[in-house]
Amino acid sequence: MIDVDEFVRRNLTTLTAPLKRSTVFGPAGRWTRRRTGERIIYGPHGTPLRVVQYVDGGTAVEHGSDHRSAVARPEPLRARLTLINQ
Amino acid sequence: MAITTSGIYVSTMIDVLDTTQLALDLDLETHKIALFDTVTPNFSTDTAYNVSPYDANEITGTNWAAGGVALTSTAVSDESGSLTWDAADVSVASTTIATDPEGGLIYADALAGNNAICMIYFGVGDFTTSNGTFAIQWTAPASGGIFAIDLTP
Repeated sequence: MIDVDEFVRRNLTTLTAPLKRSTVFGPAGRWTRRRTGERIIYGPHGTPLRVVQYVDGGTAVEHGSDHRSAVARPEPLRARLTLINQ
Repeated sequence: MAITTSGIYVSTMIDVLDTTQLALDLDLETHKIALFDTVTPNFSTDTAYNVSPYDANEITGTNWAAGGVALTSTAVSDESGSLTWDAADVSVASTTIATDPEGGLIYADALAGNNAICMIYFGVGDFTTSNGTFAIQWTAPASGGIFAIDLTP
């Protein structure tokens, strides 16, 4: 099991090593916000893409996802045949 | 220019009912819905997908290719005197659709002419996605499905 804090601290400038999804890293689009405020964004196969505003130390305290879905619920299209009485 | 309402394309319905005898089978599972924005439908004169104005401003993205996706479980029924067309909800996973679609053109992909059937206005909202599911939920047939034509005098 890889410790996320230790990994980021040691690999701050070389965040290229691919990691298995079974580790603490999630799929593409997921992120982890650390107590110190930096945000780790993961790419395909759980590879960290970049670290934003990294401050040494801290613990991952928040998790989330940048995935965004959409659901359209259109009103049913209604038409009416109008018959004119003779 | 924008899509602001849903509608059925009259020219296609005329071709179904007149001597053209266009073989529009709404039970087919091959009709597609393609996403558009900034087009202004003319329900009297517009004819088909890939024909103006539907030869531009189509919205595509990751896992949502040009031409759109097929409607499945299509069914035509009588709902209290209304001819109703329904299909399974559309749900495509892992899409990234960066441009907000205003509506979807449903057309007969199996016909050589790609004849336009109807335009569905999605309503107000943001329908962009980012590595997420793009879904269209139709109402139940009793509530109108995709479209309902009230034939009751």
